[in-house]
Amino acid sequence: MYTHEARIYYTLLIGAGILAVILSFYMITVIRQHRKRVLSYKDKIITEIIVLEKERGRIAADLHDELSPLLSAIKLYLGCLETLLPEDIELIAKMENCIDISMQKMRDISNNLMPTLLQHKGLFPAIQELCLSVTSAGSIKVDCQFPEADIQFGKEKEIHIYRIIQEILHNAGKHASATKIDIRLWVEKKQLCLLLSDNGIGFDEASVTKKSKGLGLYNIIKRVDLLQGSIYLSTQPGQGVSYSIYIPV
Amino acid sequence: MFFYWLNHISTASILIPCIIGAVRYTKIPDLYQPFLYFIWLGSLNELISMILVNTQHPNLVNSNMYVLLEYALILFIFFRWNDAKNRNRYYLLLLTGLVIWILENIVINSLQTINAVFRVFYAFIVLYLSINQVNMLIVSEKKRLISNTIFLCCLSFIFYFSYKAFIETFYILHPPFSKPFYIHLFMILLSINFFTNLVYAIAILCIPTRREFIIPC
Repeated sequence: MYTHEARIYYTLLIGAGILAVILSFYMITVIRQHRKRVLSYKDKIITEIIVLEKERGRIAADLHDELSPLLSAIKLYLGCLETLLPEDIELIAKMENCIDISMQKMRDISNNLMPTLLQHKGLFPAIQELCLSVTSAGSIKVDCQFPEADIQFGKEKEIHIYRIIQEILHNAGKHASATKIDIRLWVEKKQLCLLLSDNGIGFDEASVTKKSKGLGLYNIIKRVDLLQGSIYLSTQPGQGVSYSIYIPV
Repeated sequence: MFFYWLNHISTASILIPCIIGAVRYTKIPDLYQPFLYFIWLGSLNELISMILVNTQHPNLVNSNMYVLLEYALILFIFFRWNDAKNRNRYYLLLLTGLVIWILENIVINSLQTINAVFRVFYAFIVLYLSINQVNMLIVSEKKRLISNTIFLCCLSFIFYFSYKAFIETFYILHPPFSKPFYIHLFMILLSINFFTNLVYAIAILCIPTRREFIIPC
Protein backbone atom coordinates (compact mmCIF):
# COMPACT_ATOMS: atom_id res chain seq x y z
CA MET A 1 0.00 0.00 0.00
CA TYR A 2 1.36 3.46 -0.96
CA THR A 3 1.85 6.21 1.65
CA HIS A 4 -1.04 8.36 0.42
CA GLU A 5 -3.25 5.26 0.33
CA ALA A 6 -2.22 4.34 3.86
CA ARG A 7 -3.28 7.81 4.98
CA ILE A 8 -6.68 7.39 3.29
CA TYR A 9 -6.97 3.88 4.67
CA TYR A 10 -6.31 4.99 8.26
CA THR A 11 -8.74 7.88 7.83
CA LEU A 12 -11.37 5.40 6.65
CA LEU A 13 -10.48 3.06 9.48
CA ILE A 14 -10.92 5.80 12.07
CA GLY A 15 -14.18 6.84 10.39
CA ALA A 16 -15.47 3.27 10.44
CA GLY A 17 -14.34 2.91 14.06
CA ILE A 18 -16.19 6.08 15.07
CA LEU A 19 -19.30 4.83 13.27
CA ALA A 20 -19.01 1.48 15.04
CA VAL A 21 -18.69 3.26 18.40
CA ILE A 22 -21.77 5.41 17.60
CA LEU A 23 -23.72 2.30 16.57
CA SER A 24 -22.64 0.47 19.73
CA PHE A 25 -23.60 3.46 21.84
CA TYR A 26 -26.99 3.56 20.10
CA MET A 27 -27.54 -0.14 20.79
CA ILE A 28 -26.53 0.19 24.45
CA THR A 29 -28.91 3.13 24.78
CA VAL A 30 -31.68 1.07 23.17
CA ILE A 31 -31.09 -1.80 25.63
CA ARG A 32 -30.99 0.54 28.63
CA GLN A 33 -34.12 2.43 27.58
CA HIS A 34 -35.88 -0.86 26.94
CA ARG A 35 -34.92 -2.10 30.42
CA LYS A 36 -36.33 1.11 31.95
CA ARG A 37 -39.50 0.73 29.91
CA VAL A 38 -39.98 -2.88 31.01
CA LEU A 39 -39.47 -1.87 34.65
CA SER A 40 -42.02 0.93 34.36
CA TYR A 41 -44.43 -1.48 32.64
CA LYS A 42 -44.02 -3.92 35.55
CA ASP A 43 -44.55 -1.13 38.08
CA LYS A 44 -47.68 -0.13 36.19
CA ILE A 45 -49.19 -3.61 36.18
CA ILE A 46 -48.24 -4.17 39.83
CA THR A 47 -50.07 -0.97 40.77
CA GLU A 48 -53.06 -1.82 38.54
CA ILE A 49 -53.42 -5.32 39.93
CA ILE A 50 -52.85 -4.35 43.57
CA VAL A 51 -55.50 -1.63 43.27
CA LEU A 52 -57.86 -4.11 41.58
CA GLU A 53 -57.34 -6.77 44.24
CA LYS A 54 -57.72 -4.25 47.08
CA GLU A 55 -60.94 -2.96 45.58
CA ARG A 56 -62.26 -6.49 45.09
CA GLY A 57 -61.40 -7.33 48.69
CA ARG A 58 -63.11 -4.17 49.94
CA ILE A 59 -66.30 -4.82 47.95
CA ALA A 60 -66.35 -8.47 49.10
CA ALA A 61 -65.89 -7.39 52.73
CA ASP A 62 -68.59 -4.70 52.42
CA LEU A 63 -71.01 -7.17 50.91
CA HIS A 64 -70.30 -9.68 53.63
CA ASP A 65 -70.18 -7.32 56.60
CA GLU A 66 -72.68 -4.63 55.72
CA LEU A 67 -75.32 -6.12 53.46
CA SER A 68 -75.48 -9.64 54.83
CA PRO A 69 -76.55 -8.66 58.40
CA LEU A 70 -79.17 -6.31 56.96
CA LEU A 71 -80.70 -9.07 54.86
CA SER A 72 -80.64 -11.40 57.88
CA ALA A 73 -82.39 -8.71 59.92
CA ILE A 74 -85.08 -8.29 57.25
CA LYS A 75 -85.66 -12.04 57.28
CA LEU A 76 -85.88 -12.00 61.08
CA TYR A 77 -88.43 -9.16 61.07
CA LEU A 78 -90.49 -10.94 58.44
CA GLY A 79 -90.59 -13.98 60.74
CA CYS A 80 -91.95 -11.78 63.49
CA LEU A 81 -94.93 -10.73 61.43
CA GLU A 82 -98.16 -12.33 62.62
CA THR A 83 -100.93 -12.69 60.14
CA LEU A 84 -103.76 -15.13 59.57
CA LEU A 85 -104.54 -14.17 56.01
CA PRO A 86 -103.37 -16.97 53.66
CA GLU A 87 -102.39 -14.41 50.96
CA ASP A 88 -100.09 -12.63 53.44
CA ILE A 89 -98.57 -15.91 54.66
CA GLU A 90 -97.82 -16.84 51.05
CA LEU A 91 -96.37 -13.39 50.38
CA ILE A 92 -94.11 -13.59 53.44
CA ALA A 93 -92.87 -17.03 52.35
CA LYS A 94 -92.09 -15.64 48.90
CA MET A 95 -90.21 -12.70 50.43
CA GLU A 96 -88.21 -15.03 52.69
CA ASN A 97 -87.35 -17.14 49.67
CA CYS A 98 -86.21 -14.05 47.77
CA ILE A 99 -84.04 -13.01 50.72
CA ASP A 100 -82.48 -16.50 50.84
CA ILE A 101 -81.69 -16.33 47.12
CA SER A 102 -80.26 -12.81 47.55
CA MET A 103 -78.04 -13.97 50.41
CA GLN A 104 -76.82 -16.94 48.40
CA LYS A 105 -76.12 -14.72 45.36
CA MET A 106 -74.31 -12.25 47.58
CA ARG A 107 -72.17 -15.00 49.07
CA ASP A 108 -71.33 -16.19 45.54
CA ILE A 109 -70.39 -12.69 44.40
CA SER A 110 -68.37 -12.10 47.55
CA ASN A 111 -66.61 -15.43 47.14
CA ASN A 112 -65.94 -14.71 43.51
CA LEU A 113 -64.44 -11.34 44.39
CA MET A 114 -62.27 -12.70 47.20
CA PRO A 115 -62.42 -16.47 47.68
CA THR A 116 -62.49 -17.27 51.38
CA LEU A 117 -61.19 -20.79 50.78
CA LEU A 118 -58.11 -19.34 49.09
CA GLN A 119 -57.47 -17.10 52.07
CA HIS A 120 -58.01 -19.79 54.67
CA LYS A 121 -57.03 -23.11 53.10
CA GLY A 122 -54.70 -22.24 50.22
CA LEU A 123 -54.55 -22.52 46.46
CA PHE A 124 -55.40 -26.13 45.64
CA PRO A 125 -58.65 -26.38 47.68
CA ALA A 126 -59.74 -23.01 46.26
CA ILE A 127 -59.14 -24.17 42.68
CA GLN A 128 -60.89 -27.45 43.47
CA GLU A 129 -63.89 -25.49 44.68
CA LEU A 130 -63.79 -23.22 41.64
CA CYS A 131 -63.76 -26.24 39.32
CA LEU A 132 -66.67 -27.81 41.20
CA SER A 133 -68.69 -24.60 41.05
CA VAL A 134 -68.09 -24.25 37.28
CA THR A 135 -69.03 -27.91 36.73
CA SER A 136 -72.13 -27.66 38.90
CA ALA A 137 -73.19 -24.45 37.11
CA GLY A 138 -74.06 -26.52 34.05
CA SER A 139 -72.58 -26.82 30.63
CA ILE A 140 -68.83 -27.24 31.32
CA LYS A 141 -67.15 -30.27 32.86
CA VAL A 142 -63.91 -29.30 34.54
CA ASP A 143 -61.39 -32.01 35.31
CA CYS A 144 -58.49 -30.91 37.51
CA GLN A 145 -55.43 -32.70 38.81
CA PHE A 146 -53.06 -31.38 41.47
CA PRO A 147 -50.03 -32.70 43.32
CA GLU A 148 -51.02 -34.56 46.46
CA ALA A 149 -48.71 -32.60 48.72
CA ASP A 150 -49.96 -29.23 49.88
CA ILE A 151 -47.57 -26.64 48.48
CA GLN A 152 -47.59 -23.04 49.65
CA PHE A 153 -46.69 -20.37 47.11
CA GLY A 154 -47.30 -17.26 49.19
CA LYS A 155 -50.58 -15.37 49.51
CA GLU A 156 -49.91 -12.88 46.69
CA LYS A 157 -48.74 -15.47 44.21
CA GLU A 158 -51.68 -17.73 45.04
CA ILE A 159 -54.23 -15.03 44.34
CA HIS A 160 -52.66 -14.32 40.93
CA ILE A 161 -52.55 -18.02 40.01
CA TYR A 162 -56.16 -18.37 41.14
CA ARG A 163 -57.22 -15.36 39.06
CA ILE A 164 -55.43 -16.71 35.98
CA ILE A 165 -57.33 -19.99 36.23
CA GLN A 166 -60.57 -18.13 36.98
CA GLU A 167 -60.11 -15.93 33.89
CA ILE A 168 -59.29 -18.89 31.65
CA LEU A 169 -62.37 -20.79 32.88
CA HIS A 170 -64.46 -17.67 32.35
CA ASN A 171 -63.11 -17.26 28.79
CA ALA A 172 -63.69 -20.93 27.99
CA GLY A 173 -67.30 -20.69 29.09
CA LYS A 174 -68.15 -17.27 27.71
CA HIS A 175 -66.20 -17.02 24.45
CA ALA A 176 -65.00 -20.50 23.52
CA SER A 177 -68.26 -22.45 24.03
CA ALA A 178 -66.22 -25.23 25.58
CA THR A 179 -67.86 -28.27 27.16
CA LYS A 180 -64.76 -29.79 28.74
CA ILE A 181 -61.75 -28.22 30.41
CA ASP A 182 -58.71 -30.08 31.72
CA ILE A 183 -56.49 -28.49 34.34
CA ARG A 184 -53.14 -30.00 35.32
CA LEU A 185 -50.93 -28.45 37.96
CA TRP A 186 -47.53 -29.71 39.00
CA VAL A 187 -44.23 -28.43 40.31
CA GLU A 188 -41.09 -29.22 38.36
CA LYS A 189 -37.60 -27.71 38.41
CA LYS A 190 -38.62 -24.94 40.83
CA GLN A 191 -41.50 -23.98 38.54
CA LEU A 192 -45.22 -24.24 38.93
CA CYS A 193 -46.44 -25.75 35.66
CA LEU A 194 -50.02 -25.08 34.77
CA LEU A 195 -51.62 -26.71 31.77
CA LEU A 196 -55.18 -25.80 30.84
CA SER A 197 -56.89 -27.03 27.72
CA ASP A 198 -60.45 -26.79 26.48
CA ASN A 199 -62.40 -28.26 23.59
CA GLY A 200 -63.95 -24.95 22.53
CA ILE A 201 -63.96 -23.09 19.24
CA GLY A 202 -60.39 -21.77 19.63
CA PHE A 203 -59.23 -18.57 17.97
CA ASP A 204 -56.72 -17.12 15.58
CA GLU A 205 -53.68 -16.27 17.71
CA ALA A 206 -52.30 -13.74 15.22
CA SER A 207 -55.51 -11.71 15.05
CA VAL A 208 -55.77 -11.55 18.85
CA THR A 209 -52.13 -10.43 19.09
CA LYS A 210 -52.78 -7.82 16.42
CA LYS A 211 -55.83 -6.44 18.26
CA SER A 212 -53.59 -6.18 21.35
CA LYS A 213 -56.33 -6.52 23.91
CA GLY A 214 -59.36 -8.62 24.49
CA LEU A 215 -60.89 -11.82 25.78
CA GLY A 216 -59.37 -11.29 29.20
CA LEU A 217 -56.12 -12.57 27.72
CA TYR A 218 -54.49 -9.26 28.45
CA ASN A 219 -55.25 -9.69 32.17
CA ILE A 220 -53.89 -13.24 32.14
CA ILE A 221 -50.67 -12.11 30.47
CA LYS A 222 -50.35 -9.18 32.89
CA ARG A 223 -50.54 -11.53 35.87
CA VAL A 224 -48.08 -13.98 34.29
CA ASP A 225 -45.69 -11.08 33.67
CA LEU A 226 -46.12 -9.95 37.23
CA LEU A 227 -45.17 -13.42 38.46
CA GLN A 228 -42.17 -13.36 36.08
CA GLY A 229 -43.52 -16.44 34.39
CA SER A 230 -44.03 -17.41 30.78
CA ILE A 231 -47.16 -18.31 28.87
CA TYR A 232 -47.45 -20.44 25.74
CA LEU A 233 -50.61 -20.76 23.76
CA SER A 234 -51.60 -23.40 21.29
CA THR A 235 -54.80 -22.71 19.43
CA GLN A 236 -56.43 -22.70 16.05
CA PRO A 237 -59.98 -21.89 15.04
CA GLY A 238 -62.12 -24.94 15.79
CA GLN A 239 -59.44 -26.79 17.73
CA GLY A 240 -59.75 -25.51 21.28
CA VAL A 241 -57.16 -23.65 23.29
CA SER A 242 -54.28 -25.02 25.29
CA TYR A 243 -52.48 -22.75 27.75
CA SER A 244 -49.11 -23.73 29.23
CA ILE A 245 -48.03 -21.42 32.01
CA TYR A 246 -44.78 -21.67 33.93
CA ILE A 247 -44.30 -19.66 37.11
CA PRO A 248 -41.12 -19.68 39.18
CA VAL A 249 -41.81 -20.70 42.79
CA MET B 1 0.21 -14.06 5.89
CA PHE B 2 -2.02 -12.27 8.41
CA PHE B 3 -4.67 -11.78 5.71
CA TYR B 4 -4.46 -15.47 4.85
CA TRP B 5 -5.14 -16.55 8.44
CA LEU B 6 -7.78 -13.92 9.04
CA ASN B 7 -9.57 -15.02 5.88
CA HIS B 8 -9.52 -18.66 6.96
CA ILE B 9 -10.59 -17.97 10.55
CA SER B 10 -13.38 -15.65 9.41
CA THR B 11 -14.60 -18.19 6.84
CA ALA B 12 -14.42 -21.09 9.28
CA SER B 13 -16.25 -19.15 12.00
CA ILE B 14 -19.54 -19.68 10.12
CA LEU B 15 -19.24 -23.32 11.15
CA ILE B 16 -19.95 -22.41 14.79
CA PRO B 17 -23.54 -21.15 14.25
CA CYS B 18 -23.93 -23.74 11.50
CA ILE B 19 -23.25 -26.67 13.86
CA ILE B 20 -25.21 -25.18 16.78
CA GLY B 21 -28.11 -24.61 14.38
CA ALA B 22 -27.99 -28.21 13.15
CA VAL B 23 -28.05 -29.51 16.73
CA ARG B 24 -30.94 -27.27 17.77
CA TYR B 25 -32.96 -27.40 14.52
CA THR B 26 -35.67 -29.82 15.67
CA LYS B 27 -36.07 -28.15 19.06
CA ILE B 28 -36.84 -24.61 17.92
CA PRO B 29 -40.10 -22.98 16.72
CA ASP B 30 -40.50 -22.80 12.94
CA LEU B 31 -40.38 -19.00 13.20
CA TYR B 32 -36.60 -19.21 13.54
CA GLN B 33 -35.95 -21.94 11.01
CA PRO B 34 -35.44 -19.58 8.01
CA PHE B 35 -32.60 -17.99 9.94
CA LEU B 36 -30.89 -21.38 10.15
CA TYR B 37 -31.39 -21.82 6.39
CA PHE B 38 -29.66 -18.45 5.97
CA ILE B 39 -26.69 -19.66 8.05
CA TRP B 40 -26.49 -22.94 6.15
CA LEU B 41 -26.73 -21.17 2.81
CA GLY B 42 -23.84 -18.91 3.87
CA SER B 43 -21.77 -21.94 4.90
CA LEU B 44 -22.49 -23.67 1.60
CA ASN B 45 -21.38 -20.60 -0.34
CA GLU B 46 -18.21 -20.31 1.75
CA LEU B 47 -17.47 -23.97 1.06
CA ILE B 48 -18.05 -23.64 -2.68
CA SER B 49 -15.94 -20.46 -2.78
CA MET B 50 -13.13 -22.16 -0.86
CA ILE B 51 -13.11 -25.14 -3.24
CA LEU B 52 -13.16 -22.88 -6.29
CA VAL B 53 -10.39 -20.60 -5.00
CA ASN B 54 -8.21 -23.55 -3.99
CA THR B 55 -8.63 -25.07 -7.46
CA GLN B 56 -7.64 -21.76 -9.08
CA HIS B 57 -11.17 -20.92 -10.28
CA PRO B 58 -12.97 -17.60 -9.76
CA ASN B 59 -15.80 -17.62 -7.24
CA LEU B 60 -17.70 -14.72 -8.78
CA VAL B 61 -20.53 -16.74 -10.35
CA ASN B 62 -21.54 -18.49 -7.15
CA SER B 63 -21.07 -15.25 -5.14
CA ASN B 64 -23.31 -13.27 -7.48
CA MET B 65 -25.98 -15.97 -7.32
CA TYR B 66 -25.56 -16.33 -3.57
CA VAL B 67 -26.29 -12.65 -2.86
CA LEU B 68 -29.64 -12.94 -4.63
CA LEU B 69 -30.59 -16.06 -2.68
CA GLU B 70 -29.38 -14.48 0.55
CA TYR B 71 -31.44 -11.36 -0.14
CA ALA B 72 -34.59 -13.43 -0.77
CA LEU B 73 -33.96 -15.47 2.37
CA ILE B 74 -33.39 -12.39 4.53
CA LEU B 75 -36.65 -10.92 3.24
CA PHE B 76 -38.38 -14.19 4.14
CA ILE B 77 -36.79 -14.12 7.62
CA PHE B 78 -38.14 -10.64 8.30
CA PHE B 79 -41.50 -11.57 6.80
CA ARG B 80 -41.78 -14.47 9.27
CA TRP B 81 -40.48 -12.45 12.21
CA ASN B 82 -43.27 -9.93 11.56
CA ASP B 83 -45.94 -12.65 11.71
CA ALA B 84 -46.34 -12.68 7.92
CA LYS B 85 -47.77 -9.15 7.89
CA ASN B 86 -47.31 -6.63 5.02
CA ARG B 87 -46.88 -9.35 2.41
CA ASN B 88 -46.99 -6.81 -0.43
CA ARG B 89 -44.09 -4.82 0.98
CA TYR B 90 -41.85 -7.91 0.87
CA TYR B 91 -43.01 -8.82 -2.63
CA LEU B 92 -42.20 -5.31 -3.78
CA LEU B 93 -38.74 -5.42 -2.18
CA LEU B 94 -38.07 -8.84 -3.69
CA LEU B 95 -39.23 -7.73 -7.13
CA THR B 96 -37.14 -4.55 -7.01
CA GLY B 97 -34.08 -6.53 -5.94
CA LEU B 98 -34.66 -9.09 -8.66
CA VAL B 99 -34.93 -6.39 -11.34
CA ILE B 100 -31.70 -4.73 -10.14
CA TRP B 101 -29.91 -8.09 -10.01
CA ILE B 102 -31.03 -9.10 -13.52
CA LEU B 103 -30.11 -5.70 -14.95
CA GLU B 104 -26.68 -5.74 -13.33
CA ASN B 105 -25.77 -9.42 -13.65
CA ILE B 106 -27.32 -10.31 -17.00
CA VAL B 107 -28.19 -7.20 -19.04
CA ILE B 108 -25.37 -4.74 -18.21
CA ASN B 109 -22.59 -6.99 -16.89
CA SER B 110 -22.25 -10.74 -16.52
CA LEU B 111 -22.10 -13.21 -13.64
CA GLN B 112 -18.31 -13.37 -14.04
CA THR B 113 -17.79 -9.74 -12.96
CA ILE B 114 -17.88 -7.99 -9.58
CA ASN B 115 -21.41 -6.53 -9.47
CA ALA B 116 -21.70 -4.24 -6.49
CA VAL B 117 -24.83 -2.16 -7.18
CA PHE B 118 -27.17 -4.94 -6.10
CA ARG B 119 -25.01 -5.61 -3.03
CA VAL B 120 -25.23 -1.98 -1.94
CA PHE B 121 -28.98 -1.96 -2.60
CA TYR B 122 -29.66 -5.09 -0.59
CA ALA B 123 -27.36 -4.03 2.25
CA PHE B 124 -29.45 -0.87 2.62
CA ILE B 125 -32.70 -2.86 2.53
CA VAL B 126 -31.41 -5.22 5.23
CA LEU B 127 -30.34 -2.21 7.30
CA TYR B 128 -33.77 -0.66 6.93
CA LEU B 129 -35.54 -3.89 7.92
CA SER B 130 -33.18 -4.48 10.87
CA ILE B 131 -33.59 -0.97 12.30
CA ASN B 132 -37.36 -1.26 11.85
CA GLN B 133 -37.35 -4.62 13.64
CA VAL B 134 -35.25 -3.28 16.55
CA ASN B 135 -37.72 -0.41 16.96
CA MET B 136 -40.61 -2.86 17.03
CA LEU B 137 -38.85 -5.01 19.62
CA ILE B 138 -38.38 -2.01 21.89
CA VAL B 139 -42.16 -1.63 21.92
CA SER B 140 -43.27 -5.26 22.12
CA GLU B 141 -40.59 -7.19 23.99
CA LYS B 142 -41.07 -7.53 27.73
CA LYS B 143 -38.11 -9.75 28.52
CA ARG B 144 -34.35 -9.01 28.33
CA LEU B 145 -33.48 -7.61 24.92
CA ILE B 146 -29.86 -8.74 25.08
CA SER B 147 -30.87 -12.41 25.04
CA ASN B 148 -33.49 -11.98 22.34
CA THR B 149 -32.55 -13.88 19.18
CA ILE B 150 -34.20 -11.43 16.80
CA PHE B 151 -32.51 -8.47 18.47
CA LEU B 152 -29.08 -10.13 18.31
CA CYS B 153 -29.55 -11.03 14.66
CA CYS B 154 -30.65 -7.47 13.79
CA LEU B 155 -27.67 -6.12 15.71
CA SER B 156 -25.33 -8.30 13.63
CA PHE B 157 -27.11 -7.34 10.42
CA ILE B 158 -26.74 -3.65 11.25
CA PHE B 159 -23.00 -3.91 11.92
CA TYR B 160 -22.22 -6.23 9.02
CA PHE B 161 -24.33 -4.64 6.32
CA SER B 162 -23.34 -1.06 7.26
CA TYR B 163 -19.75 -1.89 6.49
CA LYS B 164 -20.74 -4.09 3.56
CA ALA B 165 -22.63 -1.18 1.94
CA PHE B 166 -19.64 1.06 2.58
CA ILE B 167 -17.05 -1.31 1.11
CA GLU B 168 -19.14 -2.19 -1.94
CA THR B 169 -19.30 1.47 -2.99
CA PHE B 170 -15.55 1.20 -3.70
CA TYR B 171 -16.33 -1.51 -6.23
CA ILE B 172 -18.98 0.71 -7.86
CA LEU B 173 -16.82 3.85 -8.08
CA HIS B 174 -13.51 2.04 -8.72
CA PRO B 175 -11.24 4.69 -7.14
CA PRO B 176 -7.65 4.18 -8.34
CA PHE B 177 -6.22 2.42 -5.31
CA SER B 178 -3.74 -0.42 -5.26
CA LYS B 179 -4.61 -4.04 -4.54
CA PRO B 180 -3.10 -3.98 -1.00
CA PHE B 181 -5.42 -1.09 -0.18
CA TYR B 182 -8.45 -3.17 -1.13
CA ILE B 183 -7.05 -6.14 0.79
CA HIS B 184 -6.80 -3.96 3.90
CA LEU B 185 -10.38 -2.78 3.42
CA PHE B 186 -11.46 -6.37 3.00
CA MET B 187 -9.64 -7.37 6.21
CA ILE B 188 -11.96 -5.13 8.22
CA LEU B 189 -14.94 -6.87 6.63
CA LEU B 190 -13.44 -10.25 7.57
CA SER B 191 -13.06 -9.12 11.18
CA ILE B 192 -16.69 -7.91 11.26
CA ASN B 193 -17.74 -11.18 9.63
CA PHE B 194 -16.00 -13.13 12.39
CA PHE B 195 -17.68 -11.04 15.09
CA THR B 196 -21.05 -11.40 13.31
CA ASN B 197 -20.76 -15.18 13.13
CA LEU B 198 -20.08 -15.33 16.87
CA VAL B 199 -23.18 -13.22 17.55
CA TYR B 200 -25.20 -15.51 15.23
CA ALA B 201 -24.02 -18.48 17.31
CA ILE B 202 -25.14 -16.76 20.54
CA ALA B 203 -28.43 -15.82 18.87
CA ILE B 204 -29.08 -19.45 17.92
CA LEU B 205 -28.31 -20.54 21.47
CA CYS B 206 -30.85 -17.97 22.70
CA ILE B 207 -33.68 -19.33 20.52
CA PRO B 208 -36.42 -20.49 22.89
CA THR B 209 -37.78 -24.00 22.47
CA ARG B 210 -41.30 -22.61 22.28
CA ARG B 211 -42.63 -19.28 21.19
CA GLU B 212 -44.05 -17.27 24.07
CA PHE B 213 -47.45 -15.66 23.70
CA ILE B 214 -47.24 -11.89 23.99
CA ILE B 215 -49.59 -9.01 23.49
CA PRO B 216 -47.66 -5.75 23.01
CA CYS B 217 -47.86 -3.64 26.17
